[in-house]
Amino acid sequence: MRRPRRGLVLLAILFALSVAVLTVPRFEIDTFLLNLDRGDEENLLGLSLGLDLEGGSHLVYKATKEDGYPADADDLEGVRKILEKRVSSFGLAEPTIQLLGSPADRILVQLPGLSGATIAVTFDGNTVAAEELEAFLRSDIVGHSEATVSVDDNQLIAKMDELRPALRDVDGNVINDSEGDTIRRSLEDNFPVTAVISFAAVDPETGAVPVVEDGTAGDAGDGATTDDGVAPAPAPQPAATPSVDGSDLGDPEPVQADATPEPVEGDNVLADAGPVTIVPEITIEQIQEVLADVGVPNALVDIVSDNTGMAIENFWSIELPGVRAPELDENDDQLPTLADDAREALEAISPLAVFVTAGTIELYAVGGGVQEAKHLIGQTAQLDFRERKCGDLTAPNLGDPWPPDGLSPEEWATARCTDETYWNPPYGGGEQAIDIQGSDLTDAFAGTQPGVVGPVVNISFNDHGSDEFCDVTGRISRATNQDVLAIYLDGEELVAPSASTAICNGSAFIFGNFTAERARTVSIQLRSGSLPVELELIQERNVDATLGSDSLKKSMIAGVIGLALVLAFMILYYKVPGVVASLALILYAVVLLALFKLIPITLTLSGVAALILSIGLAVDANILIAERTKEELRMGRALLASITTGFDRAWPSIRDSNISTIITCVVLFWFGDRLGTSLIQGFALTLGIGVVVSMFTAFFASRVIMRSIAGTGVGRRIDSFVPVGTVGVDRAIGAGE
Amino acid sequence: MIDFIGKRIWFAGASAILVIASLLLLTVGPGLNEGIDFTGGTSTTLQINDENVQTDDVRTIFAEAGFGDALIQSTGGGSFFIRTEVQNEAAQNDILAALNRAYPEQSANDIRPEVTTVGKSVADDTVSNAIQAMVVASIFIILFLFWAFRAVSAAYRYGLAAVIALAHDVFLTLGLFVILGELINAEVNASFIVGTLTVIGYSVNDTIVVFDRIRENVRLGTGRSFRAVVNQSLNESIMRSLGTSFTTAVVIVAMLLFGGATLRDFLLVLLAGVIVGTYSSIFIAAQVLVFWEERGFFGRRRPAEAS
Repeated sequence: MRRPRRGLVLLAILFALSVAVLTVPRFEIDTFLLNLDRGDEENLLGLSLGLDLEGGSHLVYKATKEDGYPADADDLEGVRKILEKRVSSFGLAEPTIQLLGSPADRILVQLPGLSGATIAVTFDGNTVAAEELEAFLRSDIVGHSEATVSVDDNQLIAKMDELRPALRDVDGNVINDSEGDTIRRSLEDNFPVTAVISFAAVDPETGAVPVVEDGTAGDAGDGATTDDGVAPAPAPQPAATPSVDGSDLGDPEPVQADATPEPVEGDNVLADAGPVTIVPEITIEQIQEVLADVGVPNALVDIVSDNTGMAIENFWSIELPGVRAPELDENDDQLPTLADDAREALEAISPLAVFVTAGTIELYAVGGGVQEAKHLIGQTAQLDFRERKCGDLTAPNLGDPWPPDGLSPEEWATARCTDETYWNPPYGGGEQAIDIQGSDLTDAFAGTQPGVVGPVVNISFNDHGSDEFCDVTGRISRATNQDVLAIYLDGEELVAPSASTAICNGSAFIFGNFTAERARTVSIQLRSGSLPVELELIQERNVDATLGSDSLKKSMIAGVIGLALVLAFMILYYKVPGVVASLALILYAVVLLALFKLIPITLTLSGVAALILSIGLAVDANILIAERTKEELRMGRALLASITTGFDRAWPSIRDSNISTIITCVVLFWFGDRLGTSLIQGFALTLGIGVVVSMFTAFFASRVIMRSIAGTGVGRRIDSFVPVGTVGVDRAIGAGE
Repeated sequence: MIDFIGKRIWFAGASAILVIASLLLLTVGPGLNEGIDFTGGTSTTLQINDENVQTDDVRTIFAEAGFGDALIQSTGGGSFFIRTEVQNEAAQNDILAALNRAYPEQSANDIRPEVTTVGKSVADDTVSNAIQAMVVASIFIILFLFWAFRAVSAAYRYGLAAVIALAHDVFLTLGLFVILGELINAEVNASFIVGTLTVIGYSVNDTIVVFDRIRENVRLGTGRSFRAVVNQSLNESIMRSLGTSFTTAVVIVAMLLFGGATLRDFLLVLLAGVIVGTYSSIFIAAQVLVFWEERGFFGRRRPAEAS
């Protein structure tokens, strides 16, 4: 009787361990032997859930080269890398991107929880609070009463239901803007931009702006942005304006027309400001009129006060609702914004010492929504070549401290070409597009070159690309500034090599500290950018997150009800063996779920179905055993002997029937990939593991528990070990014949 | 003891009629209600929070977008299930725009179609792969049974008999689905394939338990006829067969009643498979063994003496 006891202890430990695995939502084990990070706090029991339970999108793409040939595995690898970048920049939950088929011919993109949109907004100067934005989004203007806004690193992140996508005609032109764009515009209309201006004094003879002594106007930038008084006032206060009643100021036309200060104003101003300078007197009305002319009819104009509440002379704040972020024309040049127009118009009255705007939208990004994601994924990879002028090697003006920002000369040598801050105009750098398209690149592959240490990336161009490449490498090599050629993929820098000579034969290699892996990656990415692969969406499934969690909840409830019914039947009909089967079944369920979490196996809806089916099969083993034990008892054997023989007799059929199920699972798993749906693989894997575990619990656990119970007082009541209605337990064999 | 073998003509007749009826339903009759996993296409589930929306309104919108032959079903309460040919992104946007125009008072969230698209090539692959998977699984099961029953004489018969029972189960399930397709619009889709493959697994599983009993009793070698041995085995294993089927069916029915609509068709396949699988183990697979033993596979041998 020592064996069952030891077995019981083992089972108890197994049960406790499994329960522990399930109750700790997430655990990390990091030793030199084991490196585990399992579990997801957000889900039930910390199990990882598939798209059909969690909600999300399942997209399968087929890649075709532009010349019509199917893309090979290397091409697909390149596309996968591009998609990974695009989708992760999408910034929502973790996407899964994998190649399907062997050899790979399709790409699977799984985007969890996409049924909603995220808007990230940054306001210049952080003038809008999260609560304000939330109230605005929930208001009737936008109408997303479910929107929530949080602050993340100076960004306001708004989460809301899915937004209507843009309407495009058959050619892809936008007919109707997307809801994201509409929201952006109403944001710009409703969150006024504050402009702070001050009018400078002007020398009447030279027209030059003299140095202003009090520093308010001269140090305009700082004064305007740091002064707390800049915040927009609720209403204009004309009374606070210096009262100058130039009767002719009411007419808007001359103000607009004259670029120089009106001589009329000069008289009044001279009296106030002394003989040297002329400060044109400006009224709130005048500013409002000027602004009305550029399209801001109801601008709020106010004086700006200093810390003591004293109005600062010639310093004004205006609210400019509807200032939009600059748009680009076809040459990628910024078109003037409303604020620019206002500035120009005000400059027409008098030179401005300060013109600062705050509250403009600096960043506005819409993420989320299946349509958005699909649009993002479906684009062809864009390879850009740009000539980059690095930051100045030596100080632009003699005597300037150089390198800037306290960098050492060594650090500067790298930073001037690699740090975006330093290769831009303030430091003498800049970028300029070159007329090399991705299609001009004919090949790119990793390799080695004689005389070069380490892997290189070989590239070759067509005739046009070759000419342009010759020009640009020539320019770079001749310039003393040691500039580089920057190559971008989808707007992200891939590599930026320098050139020591003009390369005109159409092929070149890029070298420098590449690892073999990096060289391969770069060449694949160059190639995928050079070879526009068309992605065709061949399969799409979207599951609403609420529908998914609803399915899970319902399946769970159904599973529990089903399990309870089965246990009730087993206990009522098979009595003690039924109780044993129930205990084994509970152990089975707990161990199986713990295994799912440990391996880990993503639980899908079909997985849940497999789970439930495997419960049926696990019960089957127990029923087989109970029936066999009954027969042995009927033949007049002792209880313990009957149990042992019952198990032994039941084993071949349990083994063989389960092996056949496992065979089916293996075939399903094998074909599951080709069946184009992870549904089947999930089912096969879940069922397969379930069957293996059920064989263990039914055979080992049931036997141990059964023997333990038989050894107690219960064992003396033989009829509680046979099913209801069994006759002839104590009689000899042949009763049934 | 019930004489299963004696009444086999009834069961064989019933099964033959059902199988032929299923084949007719599949070929001459309406056939399976194939979902987009089989035909390719786009299915859209649409929820419009407006009780007055009629199927024809939705049809007009889809027709304007170039899908005049869309299959549209109203599932009540302003929700619709629409099947069309594959819609590309532009077409999807057109439809969405038309919906927004038609129901301007509804925000984007009120009309949120759930779109599933399966390309034609994928669908073709799915069907051929599903058939391949079934054939491969059957071959492996025959091979396994041949090995598992190697100690019994004419072991190959067990494998083939199991596959005959399996084919019987698959045909009956398919036939039942033709009827369900007509009655409740049950569609065959990827999960239907999973279900059918599971039925195969279950059918064989159940058959093996019965065969195992026959194998055991044959080995005991009591000198009785094969027919008597099989009949005894069936009597001994029937309680187990019914018990297992009952418990599995209980779980499936619980899922059907409480588990939500997503798995409905899948569970119906399983339920049909469990019932038919249990029946065929007793009345088909075992009977084939006896028939084969007594008269040869094609029934040419002279009948043996019954015990």
